[in-house]
Amino acid sequence: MTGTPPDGPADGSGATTSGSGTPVPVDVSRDRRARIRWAVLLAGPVIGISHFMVVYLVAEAGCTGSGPGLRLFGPPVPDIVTLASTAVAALACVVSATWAHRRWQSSGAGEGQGARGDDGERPADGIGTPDADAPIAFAGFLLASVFLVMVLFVGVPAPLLTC
Amino acid sequence: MTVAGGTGPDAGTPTVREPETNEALDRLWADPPGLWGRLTAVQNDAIGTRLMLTGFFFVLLGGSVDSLVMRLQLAVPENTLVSAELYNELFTNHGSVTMFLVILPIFEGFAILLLPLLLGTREMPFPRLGAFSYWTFLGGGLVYYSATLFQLVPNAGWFAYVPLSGPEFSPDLAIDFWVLGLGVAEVGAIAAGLEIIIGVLKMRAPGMTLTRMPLFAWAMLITAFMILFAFTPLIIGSLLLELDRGFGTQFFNPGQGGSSLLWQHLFWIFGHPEVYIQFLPAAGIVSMIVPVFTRHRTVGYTWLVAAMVAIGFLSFALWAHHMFATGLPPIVLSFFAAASMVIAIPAGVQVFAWVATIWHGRPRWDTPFLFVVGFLLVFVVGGITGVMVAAVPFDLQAHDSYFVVGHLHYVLIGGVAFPIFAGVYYWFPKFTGKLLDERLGKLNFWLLFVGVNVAFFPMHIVGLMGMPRRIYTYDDSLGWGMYNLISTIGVLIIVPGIGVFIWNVVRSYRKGEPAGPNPWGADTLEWAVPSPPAEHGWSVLPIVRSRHPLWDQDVLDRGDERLEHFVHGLSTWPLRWRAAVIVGTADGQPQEVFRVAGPAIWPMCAAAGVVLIFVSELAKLRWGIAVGALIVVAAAIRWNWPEEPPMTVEEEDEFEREHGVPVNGAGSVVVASWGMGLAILFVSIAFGALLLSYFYLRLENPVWPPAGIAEPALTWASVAAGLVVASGVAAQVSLRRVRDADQRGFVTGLASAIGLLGAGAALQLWDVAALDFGGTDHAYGSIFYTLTGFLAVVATGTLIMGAMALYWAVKGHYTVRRHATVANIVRFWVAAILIWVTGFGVLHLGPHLT
Repeated sequence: MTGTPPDGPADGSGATTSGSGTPVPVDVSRDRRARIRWAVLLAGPVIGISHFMVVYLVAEAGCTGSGPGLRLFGPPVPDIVTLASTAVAALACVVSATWAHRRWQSSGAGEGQGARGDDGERPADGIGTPDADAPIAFAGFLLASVFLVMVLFVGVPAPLLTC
Repeated sequence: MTVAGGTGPDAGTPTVREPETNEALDRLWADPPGLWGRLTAVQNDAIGTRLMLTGFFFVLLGGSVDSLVMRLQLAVPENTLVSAELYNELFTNHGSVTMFLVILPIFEGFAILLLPLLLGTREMPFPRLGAFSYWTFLGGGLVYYSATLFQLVPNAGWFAYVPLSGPEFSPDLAIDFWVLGLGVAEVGAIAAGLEIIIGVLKMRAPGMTLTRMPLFAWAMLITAFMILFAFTPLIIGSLLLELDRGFGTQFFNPGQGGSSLLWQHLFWIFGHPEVYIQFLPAAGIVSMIVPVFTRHRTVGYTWLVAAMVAIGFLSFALWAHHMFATGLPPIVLSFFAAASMVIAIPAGVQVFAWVATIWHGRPRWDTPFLFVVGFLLVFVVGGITGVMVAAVPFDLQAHDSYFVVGHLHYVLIGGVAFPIFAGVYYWFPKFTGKLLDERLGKLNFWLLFVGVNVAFFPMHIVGLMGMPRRIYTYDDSLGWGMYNLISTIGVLIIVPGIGVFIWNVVRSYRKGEPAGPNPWGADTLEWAVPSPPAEHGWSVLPIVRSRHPLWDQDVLDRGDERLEHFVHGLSTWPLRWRAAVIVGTADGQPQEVFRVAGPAIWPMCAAAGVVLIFVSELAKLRWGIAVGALIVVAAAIRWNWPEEPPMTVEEEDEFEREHGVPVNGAGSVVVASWGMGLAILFVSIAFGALLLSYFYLRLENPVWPPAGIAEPALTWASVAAGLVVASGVAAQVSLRRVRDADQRGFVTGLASAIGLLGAGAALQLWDVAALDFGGTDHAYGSIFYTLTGFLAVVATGTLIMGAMALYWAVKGHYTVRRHATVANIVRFWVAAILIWVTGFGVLHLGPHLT
């Protein structure tokens, strides 16, 4: 082990105190690999909730709002925004799911299910690989998929309904 | 439970080395003895146990007695056991106590007590914050309960809907006890949440990657984030309600531009996630118990993690399904109905994962497992009826009926209370060294299981027959009598069930069978240490190489050679200060050794200050609020007063050279950074809730600002915003100077930043003071002044931190090596500026632009 943590930044600003100043760089916010893991895991939920808030707020403003400047959101804007944002969010969920699926596959976890289980861990001896990417990527794939369902379920019926 | 040799679920518990330093570490980590020791205690076992016991005490004091009296009243038609007014107080107290003062503190207690052992670390990251959390929770609960002494018991339901809870219809102080007492407890809940987030993410055993983390830790991590996002809007909502009640603002008065629906939005943005805030820790407990009692690894670990994350997010898209009957537009109803149904997918995934694990395993029907099976059966019924009320047409029929009462009790008793009992039976031996009696445990389970179903299943039927909630009696001709009598009989079965549990705990604590370190043959780390564990938990930190370390590893401190060297090094050094380890968030590799804060009276003082603020508002002693605020600030300053590092830089460097992990005897850089990040998130969420309130009120008002009020002038507000932005630039410059070892430039920059921010805030307040409208005439003025006040509070907090940093800068406390405090303050400074500029844009520019 060195002064730089194994998942530390690649730019050399790792976790050293000796002679290189305050160890602020140990903060995970500078850890690119950890950030990517979190992004893979949470992309689907963030897209799903963002979509939900956009369609809800526009509908609330257009259907109940009477304040100045809110005419902009009046019908049929809520329907149009809902459908457009649903298309964009669904596409983003598909992209996220594909991204997560590829990372999961590239970690080798998708092959040989019997040897490594459904999520990349090795059930045979219970001692997992040091690579934490596979289960996280698989969870990201699951999450992106379920939030794709949510986006479609929330957005697609909108044209059938009115304010 | 017999444990055999070899690997896998039937393996024997691996050995834990106890070096010669064990006793020294135990003494080092122990809280001081006596009364003073109890007041200053910060150790996770003390705080966790207190939270749980106080939560149980509150439920016995209020929640359970209330329900018994209510059921006795409803047992027969036209009963006169209690009056309508007392009945209102009983159901208000029952809901409020269980939702705010019982379930969440118990789970946070579970987490604070368990996590260090479960994760293979010695402490939580902010022990003093944990102590503060407990004292505020206790204070808040006592303030709330003290309403009874004054015969001012809240009676507007646990949701306190306006206008019923507003000044017009609840003019006495009963609702103030509700708002302010529970407000204090909410502060405590958020404080514990921050502690749990950082504890799970950054304080784990070396090698414990995210995907080797026990599912209870995952559940508490997600729950803690949910607490932060859900409780903060409630605190803002409570603030607005108290401003309406105590200061005459008009937030919820439709006659003056306010909106009663705004309260419902703010309340249910908290209220619905709250259900899952209570369910997820329960799911975590179940996920820990199922593999142990089926002797089988969890089926679908990753699916369970994904389901918990999905529930955490989705729960924030459901709040308006409590408002289906309020006249929301059909398109909005469809959004919330769809989201409410989608959440059944991850909930169902969890149930199938547990059932699959049981299916593949060899169940052992001890009491913890009985409660888990009871949970599965009862919770599934509650979940299915939940999907039913997610459908708008059905909900409009069932809304506010006993069907909903039956549904929510199936969810909360099956989904939450049963896992709590399971968790107590499961972990009681670890922390007392005694097994709970199995015979009494089984009796306890069957009484509760039968009682719960007898009590709550008939409520679905009587609800569909039309019986509304919250009525204190009913006419015999309605035909509800038999169902209500059966429900009451069910509660009369539950009561002895709870009595058996209490007797079992008391009896077993005194005379229980010795447990040994791992009586269940469990797989997770906490079962490797003695029962009860030493104060420091781990002398030699474990090296985790599996999700089930006790089933898969023969020796816990064996692994990567460098890690072995590190954990053994840490078991013998340091012995003069409490050292704990920070690890990488994802990979679990050591990043830092730091000093954990020790016992102090200041958390209790700060909590007392918070309580004083709220009690002063209750008593309308406004000077008391100022005194309380001063106590909080003074206690927080003393709490964080820099202490001399317990070692020299050379000693720190020596350990780093030997083991490759940086040492910060002065306190953790990483933990402080994460703490500040979460503090910024908390302030941002609060600000977001205020912005939501502003825009919601704006939606409701055709003219904004209202007629007769001019648009706010821009000139001085723009100058103030410019000064505030300039202060941020100066703060950034000062940070660069300290990194360049330019002491003079550092001090000058920091002083300039303080001066500029102070001038900007003062100018803004002077400008606002000259406005020609007040905060009590119209909702516009109410939200304008409240948002401005929020900006002023944020600026004041920044100034106080800046002033403290300046004081220590002048004293030469900060160096190139040790200036993390300054870096964190500057981060907060930047966030404060962003908030200020956004607030300026909304309040001053917005009306001009539209």
